[in-house]
Amino acid sequence: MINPLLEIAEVSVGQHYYWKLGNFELHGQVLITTWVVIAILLALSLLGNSNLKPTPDGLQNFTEYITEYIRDLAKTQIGEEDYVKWVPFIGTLFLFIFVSNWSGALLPYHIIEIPNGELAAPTNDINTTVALALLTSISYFYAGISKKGLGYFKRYISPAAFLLPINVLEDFTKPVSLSFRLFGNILADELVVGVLVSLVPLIVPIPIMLLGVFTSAVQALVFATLAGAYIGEAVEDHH
Amino acid sequence: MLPLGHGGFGINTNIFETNLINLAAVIGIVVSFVGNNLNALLEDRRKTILSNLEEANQRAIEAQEKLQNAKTQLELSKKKAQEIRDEGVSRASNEIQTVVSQHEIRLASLEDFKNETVQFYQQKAFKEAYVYVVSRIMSRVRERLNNGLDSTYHVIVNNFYVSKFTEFKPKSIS
Repeated sequence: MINPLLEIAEVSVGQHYYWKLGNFELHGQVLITTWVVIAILLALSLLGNSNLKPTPDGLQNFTEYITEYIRDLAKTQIGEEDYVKWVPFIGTLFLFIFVSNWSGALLPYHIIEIPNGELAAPTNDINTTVALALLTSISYFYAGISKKGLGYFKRYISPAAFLLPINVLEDFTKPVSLSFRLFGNILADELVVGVLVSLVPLIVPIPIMLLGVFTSAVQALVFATLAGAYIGEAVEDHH
Repeated sequence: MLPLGHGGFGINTNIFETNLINLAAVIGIVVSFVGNNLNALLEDRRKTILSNLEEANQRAIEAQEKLQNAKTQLELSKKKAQEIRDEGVSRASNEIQTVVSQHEIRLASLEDFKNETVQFYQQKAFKEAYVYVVSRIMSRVRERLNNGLDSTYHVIVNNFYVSKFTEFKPKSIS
């Protein structure tokens, strides 16, 4: 007999809507929600920045404020000299993760049914977060090598040579920690909310949902800040 | 295998499953809370930018005015400097003229003085010459009188004067 709870609780962990692309299978639901996030961001920037005026008001004010915030974040983490060219990257990380987390928490995705699995935040899939983390890894390597050339690799033996194994290990743990921190936070919140909804459908899940909204915003900030910090670490001068 | 999944697309109308009520409440809270704060922040930012622009405008206008003032002052000062220079030139030439005329006066008076002194000394010299000549004559006369005067000459002279007196007397009476 099928547990009647399973008919109500549609938290399908591990259930994906598979698309075939050649020999690869893709998680279709993640791609769909990612496209929704991209559409939201494009719409926001086009609407806000199409008619630029010297005195900002309305949406232009909002987009300018966001830009200033990200610039400030990049400047704090990377330092005054090189921060300008990393603002787009850090801004993209921050905005993508922020909008995807909040879209998963606030948009009524459960209304739409798909053949297998369910629509939710794209960052609840480990593939998304690992992709973002690997991009961050590549970017801080690129930052260090483009600024210092092969002298970048001196940081593995500074301040002392016996720290070499730890420094090498750091290069592996950084992307792992970034990806799993984000993935764990988002998926766990979705699971908790889903379980609570299946137990007590009204009112009680609300505090957890609010907490989820808050922590997902914080996670976006944390990811962007850490990416900035790693880049800053790679380009800083020895002291 | 548990038959999860629906096999196709569709709309879920079960309001409990879709969590819509809770979601509506959460969205309401988030929008009102975040929306209010965000609006306040953005309004502040807009006002700050506007006031900064206004201030910058104001400063530009003031700077322009100050530049104008400074320019007019410069013109006035130039004029005054020119006037002072001209005045100085004219005063200098006046001074020169005065000094020159004074010099001439003094030269004239010195010339007069010179002439007078020369005349004075000339006259003195003349006087001395006269005195010398007269004294020489007198001494020669005295000498002649004292030396050449014997009794014969004395009688002749006395007779001359007596005859003169005699001739004279009747003329004055008539």
